[in-house]
Amino acid sequence: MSKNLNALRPVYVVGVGLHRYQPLSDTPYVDLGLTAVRAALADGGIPWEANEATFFGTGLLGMAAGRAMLRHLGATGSSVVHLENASASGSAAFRAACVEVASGLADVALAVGVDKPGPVTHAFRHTGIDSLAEDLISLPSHFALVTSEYMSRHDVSVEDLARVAEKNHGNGAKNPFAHRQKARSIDDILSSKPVSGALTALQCCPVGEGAAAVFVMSADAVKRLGVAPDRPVRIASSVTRSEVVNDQVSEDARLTGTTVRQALADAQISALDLDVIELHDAFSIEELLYVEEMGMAPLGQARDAMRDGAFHIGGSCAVSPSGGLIAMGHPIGPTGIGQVVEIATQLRHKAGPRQQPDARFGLAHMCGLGTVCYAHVLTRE
Amino acid sequence: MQTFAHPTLFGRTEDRVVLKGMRCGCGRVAFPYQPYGCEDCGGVDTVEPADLRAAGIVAAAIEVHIHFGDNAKAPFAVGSIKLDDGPMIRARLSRSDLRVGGRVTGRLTVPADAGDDAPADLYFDQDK
Repeated sequence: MSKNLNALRPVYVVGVGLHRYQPLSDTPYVDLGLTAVRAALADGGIPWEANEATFFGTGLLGMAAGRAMLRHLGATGSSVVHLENASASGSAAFRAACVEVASGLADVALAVGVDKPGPVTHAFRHTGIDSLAEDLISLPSHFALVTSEYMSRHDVSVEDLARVAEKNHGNGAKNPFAHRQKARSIDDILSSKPVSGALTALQCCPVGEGAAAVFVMSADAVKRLGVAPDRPVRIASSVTRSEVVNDQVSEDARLTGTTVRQALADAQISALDLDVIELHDAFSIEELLYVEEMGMAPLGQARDAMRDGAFHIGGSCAVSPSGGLIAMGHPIGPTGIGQVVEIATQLRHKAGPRQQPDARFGLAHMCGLGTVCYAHVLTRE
Repeated sequence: MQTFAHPTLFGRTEDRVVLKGMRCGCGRVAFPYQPYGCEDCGGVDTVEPADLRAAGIVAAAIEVHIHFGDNAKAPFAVGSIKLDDGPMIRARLSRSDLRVGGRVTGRLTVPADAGDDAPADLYFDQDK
């Protein structure tokens, strides 16, 4: 019979690091990635030689990016695997690192995500099956269709939609690692460039460059390496699923519900126990959809909770305190790992002006084209 | 002779436009037809082509303001349509202000800015 992560030995996030998410620059990806990994090593007080396995999340860099970067940390002969899982590539790398340690195959593992914008080939456009309009429906238009359906089903205005982006831009303004660091009013957001349907540019995530790194380790390694007691954050559950037959406008929402419910059950908590959530808000509509599917608000009522400040920092659960994909940014490979960096920082109570008071349980959630979905629950023991 | 922009996806019978879909022995009806296997049960020999009615209900409708690619020039309208025969499809709409929940039918149209011998494409428009 198969097991979940909790049935294996405990795994802890110990060292976390970022390179700022930013617009495309001349900075080589090696520089971005090494900055994040070295920050994570310093954060956890971990010698690079202790690392036994690296999981490298990237969607856009091309084949074999990892060794060309990691070689500059010193050759140790430890394993390197690259993972591409669309927007969830970083989440896939993080889960793989957790499984490597939980299973006992390694005591210390690194999940690192690095990307720079570049040409993208979508394999699903080359299946040999023609489509009526899929080549006209980019991701913003997919989520604009989801928005159209949601707004017609529930009494939700464009201002309600923009309120998500207002919150997340406000959080990003307090995050020195965010791609967008400027607070925006609802008027700013609604008057920004129209993209597709009701979605405007400031409701769509920027895809730039950046890097994120997280070291995970076993309790044995935490003790052996003398890790400071304020560092470890436990991974309470790890779940990933893919879509079933897609006959809905938003399969992303249904899949999120299935995946997150399992992650909460595995962690033996309820949605209302969550203090912090980092979710896949690539487009403003997604945050409304997903908090409802996660059980944070009844269907159609996330609008009211958002208006009441329930999802702001200091509310009942801070959603996207980093700024989320909308403001922190979505460089693809780093994104899912950057979420874990934010959750761990929140659970350590080191998030400064973005700190959710008394944060104890956090959830990182990502969707990727396909559709795939990841949910990780973290907790401070 | 009228040609179609996507001849593997739609065609015309004597009295109506049809979408070239598929039915599986497991009960699933899907669009478009593909020979690889049923997305629900995985059956291959259980699948056969089926003409579906190009008619249904609008589930979502938008105007695309920015589009990268030379296959269309923004703005244009697309939507999600729940077909009467079951599948949810995404297709071009004649205009973006079609009411969600309203009935639509697919029509084969040569775009106004294309030449007379341009292939006809499928656009859904609201029922009269």
